Amino acid sequence: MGDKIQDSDIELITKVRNGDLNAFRSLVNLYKDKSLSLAVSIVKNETVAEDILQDVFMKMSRNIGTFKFKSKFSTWLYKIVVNTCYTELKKKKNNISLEENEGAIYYVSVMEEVPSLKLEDQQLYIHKAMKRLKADEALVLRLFYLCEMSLKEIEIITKFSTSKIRVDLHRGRKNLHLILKQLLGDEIDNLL
Amino acid sequence: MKDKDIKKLIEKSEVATSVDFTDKVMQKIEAQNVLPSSITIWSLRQIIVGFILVTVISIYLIHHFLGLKILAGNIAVPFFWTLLLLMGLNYLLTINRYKKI
Repeated sequence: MGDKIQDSDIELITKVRNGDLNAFRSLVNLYKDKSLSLAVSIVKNETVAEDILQDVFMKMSRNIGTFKFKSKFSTWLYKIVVNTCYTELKKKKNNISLEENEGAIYYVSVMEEVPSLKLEDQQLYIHKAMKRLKADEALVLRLFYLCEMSLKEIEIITKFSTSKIRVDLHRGRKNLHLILKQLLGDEIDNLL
Repeated sequence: MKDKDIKKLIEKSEVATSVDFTDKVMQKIEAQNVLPSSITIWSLRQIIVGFILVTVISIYLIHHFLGLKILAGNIAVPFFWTLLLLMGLNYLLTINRYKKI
């Protein structure tokens, strides 16, 4: 979880700055899934999140010259992801929550019929539970555990205070467990 | 739930992009041509040409508009300052290139 930028990132970024499209493609492939996971944490809708992510990578291409190598590239990129998502969320808040609620009803009715938990089922349940978490809690959990960011880096990315991040982490863990318990009952042990 | 269990759970929550996501982004990038063009460091020829141009312009301006002396002793002042200017610019460009690496 160190602050040091990886050599592979430095090489790719330098190539992108020199107009290398293949290097840009590699950079997108390297960060797209984690970035999308963060976006989904906030907007709670994969299609909307993917559209936003396309804009994020366009912004990245335009502004990569301003990256100063003082932090990890992922910290810089995820900050753009989070800022863009919260901006878009303000614009589309009502539509997204309506789509999310419709999706939730369908999803629960399908998944409750699945008796055993294969890996794909586990992922679906976890994904479902993550969607039910508050945006801030889901975001902080994914930044900490999935993207392996330190509290300081999360502070830079989200502009949340350290105390809020700690509270969101605590509540996020607790609520995730509660939601999974509601969805799965005793089957929750199969997830661990 | 233990911390390592939470980590395992969250790792399973990673969302994959659609198969053609990168292609769509690349198409947009190519269409808008937003990536910067490659940096080229000035060659000696470019420096000489630039030097001559700036010198001619400097002499013209100083001689015709400011009425100042072109020569101080036997040294051509504008030549000297233009050379310094171009060397400085070239140095800055080189530094800028290495700073990125």
